[in-house]
Amino acid sequence: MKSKFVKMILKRVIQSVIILLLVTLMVFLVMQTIPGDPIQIFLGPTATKEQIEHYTKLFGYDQPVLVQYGRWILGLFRGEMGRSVTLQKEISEVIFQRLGATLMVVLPSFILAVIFGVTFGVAAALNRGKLIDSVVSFVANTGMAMPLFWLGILCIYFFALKLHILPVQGFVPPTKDLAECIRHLIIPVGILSLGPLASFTRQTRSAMLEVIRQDYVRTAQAKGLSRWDIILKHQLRNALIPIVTVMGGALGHMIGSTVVIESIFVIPGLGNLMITAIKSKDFMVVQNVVLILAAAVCFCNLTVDLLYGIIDPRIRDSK
Amino acid sequence: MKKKILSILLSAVLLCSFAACSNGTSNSGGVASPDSTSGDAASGSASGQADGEPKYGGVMRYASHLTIANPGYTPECTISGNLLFLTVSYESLTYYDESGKLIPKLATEWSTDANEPSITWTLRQGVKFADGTDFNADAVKVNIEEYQKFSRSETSNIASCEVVDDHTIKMHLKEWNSSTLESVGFFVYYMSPKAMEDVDSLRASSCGTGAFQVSEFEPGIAVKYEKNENYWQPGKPYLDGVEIYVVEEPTTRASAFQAGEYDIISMNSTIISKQLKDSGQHIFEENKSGVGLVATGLIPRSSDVGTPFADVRVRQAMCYALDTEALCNTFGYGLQTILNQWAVPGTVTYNPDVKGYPYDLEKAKALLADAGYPDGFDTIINTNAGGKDLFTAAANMLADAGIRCEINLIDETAQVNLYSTGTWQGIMGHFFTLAPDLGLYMGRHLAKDAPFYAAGIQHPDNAMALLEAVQKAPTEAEKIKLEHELQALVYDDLALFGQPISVGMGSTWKYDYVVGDDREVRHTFTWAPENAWLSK
Repeated sequence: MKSKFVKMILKRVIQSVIILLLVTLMVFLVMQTIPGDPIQIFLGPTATKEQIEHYTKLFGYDQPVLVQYGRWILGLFRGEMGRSVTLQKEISEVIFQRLGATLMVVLPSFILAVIFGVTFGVAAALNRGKLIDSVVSFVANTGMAMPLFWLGILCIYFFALKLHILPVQGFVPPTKDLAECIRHLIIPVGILSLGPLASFTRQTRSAMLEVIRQDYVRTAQAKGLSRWDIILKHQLRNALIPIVTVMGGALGHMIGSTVVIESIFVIPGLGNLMITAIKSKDFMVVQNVVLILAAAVCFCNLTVDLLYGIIDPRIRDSK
Repeated sequence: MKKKILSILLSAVLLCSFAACSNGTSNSGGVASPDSTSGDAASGSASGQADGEPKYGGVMRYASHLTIANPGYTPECTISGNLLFLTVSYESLTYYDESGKLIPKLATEWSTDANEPSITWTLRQGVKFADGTDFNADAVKVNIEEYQKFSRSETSNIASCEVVDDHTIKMHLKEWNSSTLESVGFFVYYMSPKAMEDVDSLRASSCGTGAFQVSEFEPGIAVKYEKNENYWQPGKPYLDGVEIYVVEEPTTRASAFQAGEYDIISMNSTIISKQLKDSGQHIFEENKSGVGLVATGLIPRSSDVGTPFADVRVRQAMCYALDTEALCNTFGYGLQTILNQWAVPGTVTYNPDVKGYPYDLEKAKALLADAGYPDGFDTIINTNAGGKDLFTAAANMLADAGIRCEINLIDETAQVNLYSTGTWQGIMGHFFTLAPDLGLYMGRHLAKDAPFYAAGIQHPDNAMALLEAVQKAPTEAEKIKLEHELQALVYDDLALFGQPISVGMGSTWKYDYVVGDDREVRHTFTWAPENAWLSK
């Protein structure tokens, strides 16, 4: 039975690889159709024909499109992502440097959203119809409706310009100054977590309300189990499947949303890198960053599938 | 009932928080600005710059949307925006004064010989690179040859460099071209020959004669510089360091500036510049000569025989129909200067006798009728999202004269493609760099094989001959005289580039305690960090 589950996971892994290949092909072709020459943009208007030819050959852009694509894919299997025209560095090196900053925003945001979203959702469900339920629902609906960019500007206005308690922008590596690192991340992490937090709250509340009425809950209460045992072991665990599904999707969305957050708060992450690369048509960087982001989303989906098996053994053991 | 009251109360709280966001000044540009105090809105200046003796110490923090791939290996730095970074750690033979004239920097004197042809430079004595290597004629020769390896256009006309003595170098040219002096004099930045032996290391650092050298480089994020202890100007620099941060989002840059996180910024958004100006708390650094600034105009496609714009009268009608003063005042927010030619008033290449095309709707209609279009004609006007408002206003003005324009919205990359290939239809934006060397800069648009707009405009023999004469002018005085004639011919007689509208006179804002930096004053991408100090 477990082998069925393992087979399912393997199947999903293979599907993910195929999806990633299709994503790479799609983004490669799209970048080729956009007008503009990355070498010309990099060298500027005073570039001579000889300079343009020199760099075009250097970066392999004189090769046929399919050859360029093939070289890139083969390079990926060797761990080589190519060279950035605008940054004049190996792309893998740049991505590795930038990935840390992105993770420092996304992971704390996600963890905060999970902890508070589930807690608020459970609280709202257990106190249905009461004040706490109304407040939580109202805040959740508002959080889902707020656009990130606008919220970012608002927070900068209040916390940085009016109250002067937090910086406007910037990123300090934790190894350099942990306190300043945290101070700089408070607003971006808070904003990025708000939408998913609201979404998790609503989903948890809805799932818990379904579960609360079930017979096995009444049985557990009749058996004399403690309230927390009932909530955590019986109610929440049974409500987790749809919640985890939403979390997987939300994490993928958060990874994509870092583009906006990193632009507003000048965080040197992958999103910021991609914006710069798109503007300068440095399509090798765009392709590789899209690949990383797509791989992250696939990984999230795969993790969600794995978690189904852990949360509900019946899924793992089903024929 | 309780729930209803609570919902109403919560909604009221939310509405109040929205209302608190607006503070009288418009935030449509997205700047989160603190309460503004009254100030001199006309000049956008604060209380004025600090006087007194320069103070030593401090690190100047600068935020810009510009970036650089490598701050150390100068032959690869081909974009004008790179100069912001290069001029911190490197220097050129000459510099500009406020009228756009070349003045000494690493060279103290120069002479040209159009017959030989050659340029002879006398180099400044007592100058060393940051690693202690002497700056001399041999170093200049090595650098020129390095630039030539990269096929840099600035050095392409140099056939050979002759080291006459330690501080005299003679550049033998392939042919006389009046642009070579400025190209070599201003656009070549000298690296230490010793440091050039390890180019890979040099790319992430620097080794020039400039007042500061790179101490830390994070591509796309920041370049940090520290004082060059070997700097040749005694007693300078005053600062301990300079840090240039890349902040692409203009709203964030302005907010961080207003929160005091930066001392000086570049601002590439006119709307946000206006908000900074209105706050009255900052100083606007005005580019006096216009050098390096990109001006905007409207250029019609004239190369297709039989089309309306192929007729000079129609082009002139287009120019007369545009009220450039109204356009400049409305969309420039007082931060732009109206143009009628390829120069800012008061600079060396500005011809005061050029009449241009003052707004005259009746004259426009008369010219159209004369050209055979009494009922006007239809055309298109191409613009990207950034210029949409300006170009829509221009289209409405043209419609009053009978030139009915359909707006064709294109993205930035497509726009670049159109003017690089010269394949636009109808009218499009004319973006041209102001500089004292018209032979080079105007030549990049006017010559038959020029890289910009050339395929879309006419190349009359008289204009080509005059352009060539400018490029071959044997002396600076002769060159300026011919450049004035070229302005009159191209604009007043032929309207080849359509109607210039205006140029933003700078994009740098700073606090009044930042003194002596000269940012943008002489060239839009350069400054003098060796003279800068912080009075706070």
